[in-house]
Amino acid sequence: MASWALSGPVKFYDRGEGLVVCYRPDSGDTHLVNAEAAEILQTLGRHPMTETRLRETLVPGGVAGASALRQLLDDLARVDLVSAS
Amino acid sequence: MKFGTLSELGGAGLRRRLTGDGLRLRVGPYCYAIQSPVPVVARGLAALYSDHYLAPDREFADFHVALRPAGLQQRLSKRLDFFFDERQPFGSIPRSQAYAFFEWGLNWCLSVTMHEYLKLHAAVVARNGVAVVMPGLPGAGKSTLCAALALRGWRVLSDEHALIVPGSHRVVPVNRPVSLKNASIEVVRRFAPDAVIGPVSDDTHKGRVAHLKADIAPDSHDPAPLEAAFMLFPQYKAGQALQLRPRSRAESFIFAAHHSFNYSALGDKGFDAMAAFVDGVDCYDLRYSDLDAVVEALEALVQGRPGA
Repeated sequence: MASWALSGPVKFYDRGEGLVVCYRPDSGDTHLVNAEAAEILQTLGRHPMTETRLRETLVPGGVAGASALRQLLDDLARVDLVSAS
Repeated sequence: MKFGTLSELGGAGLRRRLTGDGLRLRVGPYCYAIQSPVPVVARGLAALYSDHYLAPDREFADFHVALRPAGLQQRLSKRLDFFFDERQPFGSIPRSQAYAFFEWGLNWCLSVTMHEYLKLHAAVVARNGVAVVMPGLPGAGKSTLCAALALRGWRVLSDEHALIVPGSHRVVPVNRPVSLKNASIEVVRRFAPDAVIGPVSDDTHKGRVAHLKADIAPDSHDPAPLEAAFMLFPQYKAGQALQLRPRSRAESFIFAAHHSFNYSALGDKGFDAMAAFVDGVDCYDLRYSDLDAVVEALEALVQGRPGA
């Protein structure tokens, strides 16, 4: 199974408001993401993991089902914040 | 060292400098060296910058600018060109647009250089030493609001550029006239019949444009940075009841970054500077139509009573 990782270093501006600013120094891109997407990024920032392992790691009540998690990962990959290998 | 104000030159002295080695005009921490034989430029400067300090004639200037015909063809066709360090960043314009174009040229110099600050496209005003930064899309009404506040005793630090000291929420004053467009010219004239409004430029790409002398507050030319306490996102809409609603810092961060002249150019430092700035200010969406009502609401805001 593919392992997911950040595409590069990410800096966060998170003040616990439900929205988080993510900045990629490598590309200079800045994104506004919701708390669930930010949690995925912060989790993958600690170390890469498979989608299954990621779902088990995320806090209960966060990203709901497998399809929701996959959709978020695809969205984050589309803006080059994460990538699968 | 303060050298004297533009009004002390008199009309002849002003024209002599503009057609000679250049008028050395202080604007915040910067010095412009301005050359132009165009009468409306001299008239506009005399009306709108009379209280600005000058620098000695040979002093270093950050920006060397000129407004004049580039050559015989432009002279014959009554067109003018803006020069920055003897380069022409823009095409020629008709003489009827001269003054607006001159002011836009001065804005442009600062917008594309001077990256020691995080620069937002924003008006900055202050009351009792508390600065309020107001980024806004074109047409959002930030300049009209800025003008109204100036005419009710607020200090204007800038109509166009918020210069933020990295790692802080301090803003550096760069006071120049406030740009008014189309209907807002008459709105401001009605709001304050004694307001000093400079030459009117017709048929520009933004319509009819004029500028308000905005250094009315006694401390208008104090160069010391001020701490910003608020960032407001104004939006004018005819008939709109006044609304002042808190906005999340993360959304405000993104909006301000989108309206920054150099957030991207600064890279990592831009992100850190924006984070430090947004952490230091309370952010609000401001919707308004009535100028007296919005001035009253902002008076209450800076006194620590939002919505009072």
